[in-house]
Amino acid sequence: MTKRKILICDDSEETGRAFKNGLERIDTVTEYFKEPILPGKTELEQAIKALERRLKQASNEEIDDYPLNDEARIIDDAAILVIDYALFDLNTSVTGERIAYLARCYSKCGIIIALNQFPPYVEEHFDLTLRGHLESYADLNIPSISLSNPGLWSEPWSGFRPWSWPLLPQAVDKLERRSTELREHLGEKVLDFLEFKGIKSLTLPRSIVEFLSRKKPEETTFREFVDSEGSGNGLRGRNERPINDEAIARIAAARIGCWLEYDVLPAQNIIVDAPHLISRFPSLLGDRTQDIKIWNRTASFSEPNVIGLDPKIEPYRFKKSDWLSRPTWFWNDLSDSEEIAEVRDPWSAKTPDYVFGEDISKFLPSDGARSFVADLESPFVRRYVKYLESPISYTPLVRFSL
Amino acid sequence: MNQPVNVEQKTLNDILVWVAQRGDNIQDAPEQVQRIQELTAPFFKKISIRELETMLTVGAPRTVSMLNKNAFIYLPPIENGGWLVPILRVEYNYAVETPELSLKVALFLISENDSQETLKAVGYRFETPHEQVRHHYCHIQLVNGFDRDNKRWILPGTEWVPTNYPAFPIDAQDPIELLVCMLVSLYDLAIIKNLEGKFKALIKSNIKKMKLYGFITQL
Repeated sequence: MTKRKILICDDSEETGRAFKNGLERIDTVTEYFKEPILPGKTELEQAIKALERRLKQASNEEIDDYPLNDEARIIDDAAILVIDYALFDLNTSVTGERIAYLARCYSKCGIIIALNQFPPYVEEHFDLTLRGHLESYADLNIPSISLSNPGLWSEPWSGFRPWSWPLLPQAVDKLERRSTELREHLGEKVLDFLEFKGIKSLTLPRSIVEFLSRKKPEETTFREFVDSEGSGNGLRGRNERPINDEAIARIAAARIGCWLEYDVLPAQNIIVDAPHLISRFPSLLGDRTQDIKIWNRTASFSEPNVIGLDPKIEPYRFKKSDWLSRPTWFWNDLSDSEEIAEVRDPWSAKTPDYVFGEDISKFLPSDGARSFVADLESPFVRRYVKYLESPISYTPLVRFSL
Repeated sequence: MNQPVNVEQKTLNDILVWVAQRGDNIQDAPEQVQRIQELTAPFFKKISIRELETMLTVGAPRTVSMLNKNAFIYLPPIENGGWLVPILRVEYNYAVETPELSLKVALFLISENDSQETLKAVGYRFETPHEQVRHHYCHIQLVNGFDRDNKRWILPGTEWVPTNYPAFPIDAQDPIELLVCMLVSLYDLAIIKNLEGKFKALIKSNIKKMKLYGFITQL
């Protein structure tokens, strides 16, 4: 197995080194990745300037690939690019978010992680809105302290571990595979390709589909989504152009992956993941619904056959599994299947004793959980957290039920 | 081929969308309302506003059946000591000479005994005249589910209820008046004031003819 590269971009060598040391203490990181790279300030400044140059060249010149061996190659080579948001000590005026944009649109890097971009910044926190940060071009926004949380890198986990996080080594592979797959499908409509159109009576809410296009989301192709005159969520700058089809595929694979992960999935009423599905239909676990270990097997990034759900729901599975971090199913059709005991006879089932803790990615007894109201367009807005002790903060507190 | 949608059908559609919008904000709803929706939504799928608009307008359908699509309108909750969440299923047929409308509305509540919560419901159907002699007038009856022939659509906690008799006659002559009667029965006469603000032509053509309107002018 070829080990992949992690590149850490920070303006402070001391802080960058602390991030690196934290990562090197995680077995999965050392197993799957080379020693994290910490570029010096000058090297980082030159890489950023090279990305800006690439943008201009791609948009203004008739070239079909980036210059060989320019200073942005260190970013191309990164399977995971970690960027601190505040880069005050660099001799450039860019923010971490600008670098994330340039790296996503004008490099070949893999997963982008932005640190400390959103309040409460460096503090370890759980976002009770469950909305994610789709406006960011980073694939994951976390406080820097979470970067070395082992639950972000491997299963099983314990303690604080938001369910919205991906599993990073798997996320790197999935992004690469869908970028490769997309090169042959850039002219296809996004929703057709993802097989949303085949779903019975499914009309996606406007607030969801407007990410794909402000005019005709249902008709939008991957190529149109990325175009600077398209959605506004691919290339953003006026008259910006991608360097080639490979770049279009990378941008679309990353951005539409984030859309599915942070906009479509959290509502759990268009597609639904295993823990939220069995909370509604416990019969899918079989007979052992008293055993919390059986429930927790479903809170996993493994394939559906590993997590132990009844195979009769397989026809409803979201088949483009590289596009989401975890197995999911189309809720509309599944919830209409009279093969499921609760659908046939909704009121004979006992209310489960367990609820899913979104902050620990595990089930827990309902009397040990605290409920909150997520900021989502869905009937399933009431969710649960274990509510861990300080130093984890939960924001905004107003979302907790009274 | 579909005939163009007439003014009355369009008005009916507009009122349905309007009332669905008023019941759509679950985030700021009381916790008990959220809990009821959490328990009912897996089985009675809450139709989104966009889905409802699509169902009612795309292709200008003259008939609508929400049950076929497992789609229900979650109406604004009602406070009555605890909270009631009315869930509505609509079927109509404007392709016939005398338009037909059937509104099945169930009121859901949570009762708590010994800290054990139980979801309960009671349901009613509001219907335009049936073609046969029996119930040949706008009426209301009790129901035990959104479709009595399928256990899937039976209401929780419902014991036997008389589903054929009594069939209470109501002050309605057509589908719009029937819908207005249902809304008044849930939200009192104040709902007519709200409708007046939104649907002026409707008030002029329909509601002013209703006996109900006399009561509102006396308020």
